[in-house]
Amino acid sequence: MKTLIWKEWREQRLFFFLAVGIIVLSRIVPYFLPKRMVGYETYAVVFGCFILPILFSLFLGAISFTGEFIKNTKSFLLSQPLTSKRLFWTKFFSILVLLFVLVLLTLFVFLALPFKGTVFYSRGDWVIFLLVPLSMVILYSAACFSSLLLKNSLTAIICTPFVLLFGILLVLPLSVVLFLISSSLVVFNFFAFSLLIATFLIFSFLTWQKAIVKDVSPAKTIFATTAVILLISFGSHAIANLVASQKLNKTIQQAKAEGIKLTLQEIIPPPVSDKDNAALVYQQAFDLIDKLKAKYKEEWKYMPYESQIKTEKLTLQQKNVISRIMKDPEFARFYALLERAVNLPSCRFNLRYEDGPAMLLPHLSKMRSLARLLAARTYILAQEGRYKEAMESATTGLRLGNSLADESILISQLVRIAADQIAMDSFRQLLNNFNGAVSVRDYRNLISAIDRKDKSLTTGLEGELALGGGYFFELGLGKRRITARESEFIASGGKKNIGFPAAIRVMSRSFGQDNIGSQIFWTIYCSYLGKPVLKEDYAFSIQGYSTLIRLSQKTYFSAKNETSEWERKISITEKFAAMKHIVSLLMLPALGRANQQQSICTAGLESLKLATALKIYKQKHGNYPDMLLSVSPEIIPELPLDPFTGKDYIYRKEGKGFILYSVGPNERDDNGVYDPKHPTTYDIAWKVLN
Amino acid sequence: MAEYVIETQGLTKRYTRRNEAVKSLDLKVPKGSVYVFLGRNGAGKTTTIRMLLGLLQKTAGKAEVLGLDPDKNPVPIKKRVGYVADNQKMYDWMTIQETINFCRPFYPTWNNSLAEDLLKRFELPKRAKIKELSRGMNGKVALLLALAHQPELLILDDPTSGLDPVVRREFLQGIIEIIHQEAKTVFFSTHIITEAEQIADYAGVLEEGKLLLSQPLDKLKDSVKQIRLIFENKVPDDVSFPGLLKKELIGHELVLTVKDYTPDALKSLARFNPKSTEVLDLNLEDIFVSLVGKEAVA
Repeated sequence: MKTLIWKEWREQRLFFFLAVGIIVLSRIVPYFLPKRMVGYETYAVVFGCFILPILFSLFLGAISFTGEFIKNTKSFLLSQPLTSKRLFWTKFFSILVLLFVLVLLTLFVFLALPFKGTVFYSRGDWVIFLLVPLSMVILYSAACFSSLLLKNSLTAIICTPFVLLFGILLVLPLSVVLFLISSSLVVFNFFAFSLLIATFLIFSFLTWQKAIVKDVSPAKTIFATTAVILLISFGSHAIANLVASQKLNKTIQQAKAEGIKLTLQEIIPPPVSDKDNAALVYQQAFDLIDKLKAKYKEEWKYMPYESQIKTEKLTLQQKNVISRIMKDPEFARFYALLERAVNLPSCRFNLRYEDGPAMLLPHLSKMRSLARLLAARTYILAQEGRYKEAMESATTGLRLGNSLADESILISQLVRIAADQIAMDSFRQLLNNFNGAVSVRDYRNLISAIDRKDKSLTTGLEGELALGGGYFFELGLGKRRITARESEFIASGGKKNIGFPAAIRVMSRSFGQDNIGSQIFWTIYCSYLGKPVLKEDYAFSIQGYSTLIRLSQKTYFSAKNETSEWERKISITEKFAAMKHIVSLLMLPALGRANQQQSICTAGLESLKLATALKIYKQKHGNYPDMLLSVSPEIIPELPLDPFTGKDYIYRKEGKGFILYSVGPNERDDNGVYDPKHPTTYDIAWKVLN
Repeated sequence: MAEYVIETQGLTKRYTRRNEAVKSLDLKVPKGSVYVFLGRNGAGKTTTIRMLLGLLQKTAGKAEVLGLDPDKNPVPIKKRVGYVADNQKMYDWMTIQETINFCRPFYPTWNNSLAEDLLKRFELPKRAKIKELSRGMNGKVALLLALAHQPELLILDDPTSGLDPVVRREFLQGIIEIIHQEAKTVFFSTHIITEAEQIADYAGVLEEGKLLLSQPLDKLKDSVKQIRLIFENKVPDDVSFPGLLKKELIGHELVLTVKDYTPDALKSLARFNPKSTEVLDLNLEDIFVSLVGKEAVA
């Protein structure tokens, strides 16, 4: 054995010293470069320390075995009383050791000198120091196989990339399985690279035994080995796919048993008759507002419709302009239409759910604008001392959001919350200015409006699962064809459709890559390779959404621990774990705070209800009660609890008025401080002065 | 099987469907013999030898070398056999001493003093690099390596091919000396018959993968004869003889080369009334040419 190793060393030592020399020079020369050439340091070091060693391994692989044929020493070597196995492995590993020494030397040279320019790697990039040697071994073993097969160094070097590609294609399905079972990127890289190395080693050894030792054609053996590897690779992929399918089916069944809606068909709300459909009335209101807009061209700019203008910040003159527009009979008609719409039992805007995430939702910005317009109307009425009408206007604003409650689209529900917040801000001003102008009946109306509010995000989250999660997975897994509208949506990216399946373009775009290479990859990935991963990802997604939907039905306080647990599960900081659930994690983390948004809104609404009840109490008894408990059951059947603590809202009398508040999402009593700009920072409070 | 160091039955090597290099070879090499394995270039000699050493997989048949199957036990066979390949190339960057040092650890029976002795006898400079050696010297180094581990059987695959006559003679002299001293079995393939005749006591002739004959050399020479018949008039067309290998007509003279010759069989020729009948002895080359040749060899 020693003598064989000695022979290999003697044969390759010249090349080795040459390689070491080049590597050392490529590191030392840039170090002594004048300052103005520091920029070249990175190129020289990357070339010398990473690219050259990899090229050396290709070269060594191609010449180590062919040297014996070219110099015709093969017969002499094989006639020695040594097993062909020993000859092969000694030769293979001797050169491998040489390569590793080269790697270590490279590493030493790489780190020995400080960098003059920018250090182009960070501590997190240490994986590269693992990947370079592994790549070297892969290339070396592929080159060995190539050279044994072709018996010529030059053709072996040229053909090695193809041999490499052949090997990669063989083990690709199996590497997907390894990807699924690996716990980290390092483990996966190690598995995948080892798999490739093992494949080339098997091929090299069998070719050596057949073509070189026994001088027979290796074709049959290579075909048979390829067939076995294919069988293992595709077989294990098929098993993984089956296991993933079963897991996915089980998850789907479980979700269905929990009543979770998974498909687009399930989330589409049932149709309603035209006479019950508020959307038709809203449409008339939108048309009317367009007319008003045309009529008051100049003055309209002060109207908070499709703009962010705050009425209270306008000058008196500007407020007067608004007031004049609002007194227009057309505006009165418009308001009458709104009042009619908010009282209708259903609302179905013409939405194309089948377009998935490409669905157009033009009504949402209009609905939000309506909420602002109503808030402005409330403000102007209150300014004019017409509190009763202001109260009605604000209550109408509060009911406006209900029209969106049936839409199984998360963004619709977020607009509903926003509309509710706008309406609540109107009440914040009004509660201090009623001065007895508002009757108990008006207050009761408000309470009943609040009672009818949707206080959970379940509908929106279900829609998000079907539209976002389900949509992508259905496309990815080929269960759904893309619609014309989606194609339009995709094409709107400005790039020409090049004929690849549009679903893949959606996938590619969703992963932030839209080049041909990534599309080819995703085409293969979605149609075959990545199916087990996608299924695993989809199951993860369903579980994530299901938990979130379940949590949306609980109060913030009772769901607190589960929410933290859910957040921990989906906020996977490790890159590799995120890669496994890439589609899920593109969508789920953004939803983490959605339930909190709803809870802030709920706390606002419920505390407003309590404040209203306290107002009724004062009208009946002449003063506010000492304890909040006094309003129940006299005015409201039961006291709502602060969703953030699970306890009573904090209430105390202050002067002639009172302060009532929820501690808010920070769960800390900030003594009733309310900051409308940052509702999540402090408390959600109602301060009534009289 | 102990009396034979090499024994094959139906040994066949087929490279492709049409290319059968060795066809059902039944070969027996007695222990202690010097067996010359004759055949033209491409007759299948090297293929046979490579199969005997386990360097090539046989397609069919059986083979035993020193009682071992070469396919199953190539390493023990190689340890006990000294082998010089056809035009053997060693590592040309090594010196002779390095080549010896390289091979020595592979053989437990390596004899250093024998190696030293052979170095002297062959007048080989230890420090000379293989690439600096003449073909004759190169052959001697190969022979040294084959002999220094004291093999029971020496297999030489056309060791003198490409050598000039002087070197060839020198090389053969070396072999003859060893054979006389060590009394080894030598299996010696060649296509140069004159040199084989000097040292062999057994001969086998291979043609197109088939073994035409395999006999002790004396017996071969006794059994293969040339019969020269001279006729007064026209030579009859139907002259035949048992074991007739070749028939040549030169004017009124008919030359028959026959195998399995016996004096009794000569009587059968009397009926053709030849003017004279003469029985001639043949040398190995004549025999070989009669057996395989249309044209002269080597």
